[in-house]
Amino acid sequence: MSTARAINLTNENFQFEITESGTGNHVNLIGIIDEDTDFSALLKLKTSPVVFNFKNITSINSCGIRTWVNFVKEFPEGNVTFIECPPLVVRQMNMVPSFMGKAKVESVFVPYVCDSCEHEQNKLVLVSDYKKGTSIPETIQCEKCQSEEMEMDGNVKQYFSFAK
Amino acid sequence: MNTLNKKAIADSPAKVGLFSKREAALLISSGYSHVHSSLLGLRDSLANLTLSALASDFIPSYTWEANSNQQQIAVHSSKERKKVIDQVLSELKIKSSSSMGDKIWTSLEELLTNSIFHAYQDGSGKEKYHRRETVELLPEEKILLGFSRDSKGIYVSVQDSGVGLTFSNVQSNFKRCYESQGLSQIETKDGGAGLGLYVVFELATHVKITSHPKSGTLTQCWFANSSNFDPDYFSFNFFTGDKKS
Repeated sequence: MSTARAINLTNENFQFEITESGTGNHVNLIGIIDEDTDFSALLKLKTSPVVFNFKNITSINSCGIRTWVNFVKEFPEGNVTFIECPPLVVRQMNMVPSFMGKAKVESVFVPYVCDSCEHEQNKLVLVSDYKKGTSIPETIQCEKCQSEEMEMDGNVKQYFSFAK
Repeated sequence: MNTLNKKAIADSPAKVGLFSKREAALLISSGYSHVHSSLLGLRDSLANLTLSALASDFIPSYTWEANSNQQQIAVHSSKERKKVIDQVLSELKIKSSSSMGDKIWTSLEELLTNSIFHAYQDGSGKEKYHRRETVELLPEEKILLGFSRDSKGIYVSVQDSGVGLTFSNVQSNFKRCYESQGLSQIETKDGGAGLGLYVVFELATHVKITSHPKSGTLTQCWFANSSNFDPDYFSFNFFTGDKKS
């Protein structure tokens, strides 16, 4: 059985939600990570497996990167997994590799933009599929205008460079 | 009109070619204050503008920065920066959750933060404001945020009246961000993380920094729409009116 609780941290822009289960903890991170974000309350989770879900992170500034890097480096290898990383988190992982600490990155959202109506949508991709050589589609169908010309926003190889 | 030091130009000429952002950053950290990447090479009009401007000893105005519809907002405190950036996105009619919204939001946050916390010094030459403080700028320290949009992309600028930036500041910043490994990529001192310019350079299509010692820095950026985006086409230019660039 799982239990969920939401805890507001030290500022109005960020909160997290922990779901505990028999195998570890799932942490849903919500909002903005910046110099005011305090992760110290999450450090107690480092002794058991933890999954960080980044889907609801809306922004990270450079001091936020440092705050996160200093936090995640405390987690031992094998104990930490990142899932549902949006493009802004993938960007941090590519620019500042220590953002990943010793985490296994399980899944990321790949961004697509429609050439016809400029609608944007993200497609969830398993990093293991990319590593296995499963091709990431360069185009998908736009869910707004049904055009087949929704292209990946960026270069696949560069986007997945964190997964080397 | 700002004049440029010809010897400094000769010592660090512009580099024109086809580069990745990383290759361009390494050129900048090795001393090139003007780097233009495009398939056109020397036929690129922006590169040519830079080369002729350097030869003529003046700071050029690029086509991407010229827009008569540019709006400006003054920022007076650190507390209002997120609200002001949201206002800019709203005026530009961009959703913050969009790819462009993320680029503009992040870049303005980094540039404004740099200006508020690092541009101003006290009488002893130390930074006047600290990152963990809520800063109320003096009237003469207000920061001007400019923005405009056309069919090809978005223009933003941030102007402060602080101590100015030197090219060696930029070089050492790029050196750390692009050449360091692991935790040494990030400033660990109790100030900024030193990643702001790196982030902006990675996100923007064109970056132009014009800095005047003791009178401030103007950072101008242009972001191509995704339909107009070409990863090979970008530029970085650092100009200073100082004779000792």
